[in-house]
Amino acid sequence: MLSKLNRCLVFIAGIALTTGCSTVWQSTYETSVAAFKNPEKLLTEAKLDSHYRYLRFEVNQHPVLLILGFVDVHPEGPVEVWYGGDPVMVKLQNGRYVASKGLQTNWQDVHIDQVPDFASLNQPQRYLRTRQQAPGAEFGIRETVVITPLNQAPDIAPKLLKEPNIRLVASGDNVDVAPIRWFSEVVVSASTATMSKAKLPAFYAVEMASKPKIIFGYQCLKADYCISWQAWPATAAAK
Amino acid sequence: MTNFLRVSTFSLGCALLMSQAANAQTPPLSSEESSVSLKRLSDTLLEEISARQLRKETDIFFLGIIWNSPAEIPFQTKQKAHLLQQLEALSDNGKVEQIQALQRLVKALPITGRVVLPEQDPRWLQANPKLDPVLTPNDKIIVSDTPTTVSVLQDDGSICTLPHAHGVEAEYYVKQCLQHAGKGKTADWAWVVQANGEVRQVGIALWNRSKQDQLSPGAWIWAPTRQLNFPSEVSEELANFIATQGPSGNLATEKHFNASSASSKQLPSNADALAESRKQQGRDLQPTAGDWGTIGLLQTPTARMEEAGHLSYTYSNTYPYTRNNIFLQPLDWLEFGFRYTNISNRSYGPQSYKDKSIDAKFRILKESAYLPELALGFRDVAGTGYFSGEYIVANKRMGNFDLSLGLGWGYLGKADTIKNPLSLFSSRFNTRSNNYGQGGKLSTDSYFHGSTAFFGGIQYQTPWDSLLLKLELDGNDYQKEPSANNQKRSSPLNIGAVYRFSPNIDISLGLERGNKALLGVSLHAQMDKHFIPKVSMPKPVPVAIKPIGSSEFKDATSQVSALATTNITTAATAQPSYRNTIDDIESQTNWRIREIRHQNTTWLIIVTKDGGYYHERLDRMIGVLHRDAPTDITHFRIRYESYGVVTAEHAVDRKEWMQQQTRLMRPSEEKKAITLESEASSNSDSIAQESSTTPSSQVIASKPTKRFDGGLGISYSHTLGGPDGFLLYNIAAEATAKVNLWKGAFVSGVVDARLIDNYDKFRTTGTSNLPRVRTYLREYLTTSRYTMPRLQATQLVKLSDSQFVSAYGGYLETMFAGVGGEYLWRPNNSRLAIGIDANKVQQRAFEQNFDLRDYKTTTGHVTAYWDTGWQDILATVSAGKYLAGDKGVTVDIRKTFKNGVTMGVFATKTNASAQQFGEGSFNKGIYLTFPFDLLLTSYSDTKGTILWTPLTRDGGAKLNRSVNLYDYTRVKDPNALEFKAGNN
Repeated sequence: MLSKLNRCLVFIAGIALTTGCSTVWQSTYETSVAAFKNPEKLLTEAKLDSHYRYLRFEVNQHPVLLILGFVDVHPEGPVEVWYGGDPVMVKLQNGRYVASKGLQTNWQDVHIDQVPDFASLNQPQRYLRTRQQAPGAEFGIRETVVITPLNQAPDIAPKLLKEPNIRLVASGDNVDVAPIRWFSEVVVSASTATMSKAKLPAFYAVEMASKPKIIFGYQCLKADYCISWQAWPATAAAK
Repeated sequence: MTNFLRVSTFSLGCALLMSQAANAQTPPLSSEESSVSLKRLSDTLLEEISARQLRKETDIFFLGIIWNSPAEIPFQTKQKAHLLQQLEALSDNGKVEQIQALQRLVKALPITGRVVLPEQDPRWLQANPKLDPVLTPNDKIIVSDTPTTVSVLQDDGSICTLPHAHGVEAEYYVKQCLQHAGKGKTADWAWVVQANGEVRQVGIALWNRSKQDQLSPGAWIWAPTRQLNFPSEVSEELANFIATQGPSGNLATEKHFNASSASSKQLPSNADALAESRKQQGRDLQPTAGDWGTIGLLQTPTARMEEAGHLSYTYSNTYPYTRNNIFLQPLDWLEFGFRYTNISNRSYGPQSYKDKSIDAKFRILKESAYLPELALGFRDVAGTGYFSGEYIVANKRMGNFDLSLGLGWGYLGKADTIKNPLSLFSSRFNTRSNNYGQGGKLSTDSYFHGSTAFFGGIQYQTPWDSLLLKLELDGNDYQKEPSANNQKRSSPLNIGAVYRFSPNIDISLGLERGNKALLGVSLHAQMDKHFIPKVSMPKPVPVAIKPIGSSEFKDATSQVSALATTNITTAATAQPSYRNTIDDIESQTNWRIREIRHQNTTWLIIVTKDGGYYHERLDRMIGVLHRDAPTDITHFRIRYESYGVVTAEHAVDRKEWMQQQTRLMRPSEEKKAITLESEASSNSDSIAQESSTTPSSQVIASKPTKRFDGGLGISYSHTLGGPDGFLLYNIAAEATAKVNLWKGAFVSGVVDARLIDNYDKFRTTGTSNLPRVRTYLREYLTTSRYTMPRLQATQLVKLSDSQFVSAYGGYLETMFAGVGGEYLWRPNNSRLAIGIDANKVQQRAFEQNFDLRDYKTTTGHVTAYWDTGWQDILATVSAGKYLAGDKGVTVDIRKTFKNGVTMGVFATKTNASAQQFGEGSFNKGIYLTFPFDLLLTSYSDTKGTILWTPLTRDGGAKLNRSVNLYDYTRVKDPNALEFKAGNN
């Protein structure tokens, strides 16, 4: 939306010139502020309520904060249900994205056959993923995904996570924890040729504790539409 | 995704919902039909999920959840009866057997009361209570496992079922079933009923297939064959009725169909057909602008149109012509626009020659299986005729190819490749008059006359959605160009490519006449869908469920509770609290509120500044009122005043509004919560009287009305296409001021100081054979740097609920001062309004100060405003005497889209002859009006207008009155509540 605002701004400014109406000038000013405000600054300056858990969620590099609404019981692991304005809802299971509503593209009912065990994953491994996608009413999408351990942080990693020997610590976390490892995922075949071409890359930063935990996730829902998430607030801590 | 601050206000609701979810221990639903107690659907579904998890079942087909409500049965009974009547009427179309089979099927299927659920995820429903129905004990929820098939209802009422497959569209399933039937039949359209009951019509033939959703498991398809000749409207009804039965492949639904004795067959997947179908997904036909701005190939137009609401600016250059085209699409079947053509090797004063022209294209036939799309068009109509031509063109689509073939006359047919076919009727059609005189005439003796040629071509949609290729046969040989400006033509074929750089920008490159390069850029947008989220506005107030109509309800956290349970004296002491109500309404809506009054079970809110999207802002206002008003207040009345004069009133049924905001309503429950009232005037008086005499009626909050309002800004104006330069512009500092005097009376004015302009080039004063009421434009614009465009006093009076009067005097506009008045008759909910204005005016000095020139006149009009009720078109006809003393009629036709964007044309014809009028022959123009709400992140009640008139002449010139009673009473428009942002 913000990029749309930026695109419109020149037009708005031109239109506003055609009137001396003070209310229009006020609205034009507010629109300009909305278009140019720095979302990163808003996030860091946000007054957070310690009663709630927050998630930093990015859509094509536009960050917002989500709040944890529910943790639903599920045989394959608890499902965290996160909410944001607009509105948007994102579901994470074991740190992975499994569903959303309110985004431009939403996956639903993501199911993974034999979720790879990060602890023992030292070489590329395949798994089968089924899911739905909206809009388009795409049901029964089947994809073969290859997950690969990485030796270093990928380009899309948050700046802090690219620093050697540094990891992100979410508020309330125990600082004395294990190091992180990076993994990448890519679709190698899918129900349709178009979907196979899209690759839909994903990246995970996994804290390699006794039970590995995803602390940062990145998933492309379409070739040109990618999201990422991490607990918030997060600070850097030496390993 | 926007402002995260909005998230924080959401958190409370989430926390509450979380505890509710944790305590969910009620008995679960089974997969069979189950009665439910009064509760939300979301709660019911969460219980069902828990129950299934206990049974180690994880599969729930959310999309196929069935909500059967007995309340819908009466409506659906009528729906079924009507469908059977329609089928009965079809039984004499020669397909008796098939129709009777369909009748038997429909008769056998039960009336279920199923209501379409737009959303089914319980966690999403909890966050969006407007989508979450409240179930009554008689309602039934049916939850099932995910089906694995899709079913096609065939002509003979039989059911053909195939395994559901990802990556294919309706065409695959229909084709498989038809092939199996082996009758060599084809279908053009399919009505897809998704598992949630949503119905969509999709094209499945080469000529009409478009980008479309895939099918959910459990979807139904009704695809009558071409041979059955089944009417679309009956198909729609049939599909809607099937939607009430539930998803296909569902046990409960199967039971219904088995009982109907409809024959059924199960087909296996066809791997080869699947692979083929996955490669051939439906794609939209992409109409693009040609060199002349109209939808077409390169030089030639096609019969295609954009969607209504489309606006485009197209630049094209092919030596020696550069064209700047602006085109509008007010209706699906009408495209019109104007252009400036720059002829680089011909001069006009110090600049190259510029020609103005207007085009119009009408679609006269929509494409169907056998017939092409057909359009009739006019190029450079009513202009100088330099490029005038007419055409009729047909288009037929075959998958990625769109073929066009047309017949052009005039400029489009100068190759003269065939004898004019109209000469069969008269030899007069063989010659075309090139005498356009002053231009602007509708040259009926030229249309479809003279040289004639075929034109046409192909548009090919490449595998890349953003690249289109075009090849055309040009109907012009460029050997009879205007001003003897003939051009060498090496080939009659033109070739080009369009790259769709973004959804709003196209870039064209090509080779025309076999020897000249083409460069084109087109900027375009669907203006009717444009919107900007209001991220600068505060978040709407959450709507709580309250026992409206009860005075016993106590809400400890609300300031309202004390007032609700005590007498009016207590309310008076609570008055300061309601000042916050006014402040919150103003910050929520950007409107201005004068006061809130309490009368029995009603709150009356006086709005002194309104406008914009009424419904959206009313919802925000009512949200605040609902938060603060005691629960025994059952109605709100929103009264709109302008300078103390009531213009209209909306009545709000609070309980109905609350319900609509907090749960999904059944179709049978839907009614308007906000209505336009017709008693505003009389109530105004009665409440005013009661306030002094009745203890139950009094002002509970008020805010002083601002006596003075004003501001500083920048104004911009320009003149296009004059002999002194293509663009003459002026940017000025502008101060506006308005002082309220007494009820209905105010003084308003504007002063300007020119800051930046290029008026040093502005040297030519147009000639005129009429009193120079507008052609002193140069003098008015350039004589003084400091001007007072307007200073006037106005008195508004409301005679009755449907009659308004204004009287005004002063410096009424930039060129005229004087006195005048207007009377308007505009009943509520009426499509017709009549206005009469009369003015005695004198021409102002060029300095736009307090001085006057000698010219005086009386001007006025009788104006009829007719909301046609057809495609949101308003037709306005005004007849009377114009500023130059000429008498005549102005016709204005405008289409207003739901987001407030207006596209319009006007033309004025008076008794001034074409010679007296001068170039252009009569006054005419095209305009686009848009609410600033479209563009800004906070609400604005202002509109912008872009007006284009080919020339400024003296004939047919109206006084520019600043207060127009029809606009002033806009809230009385029955459609006012329907205007909303383009995304809704």
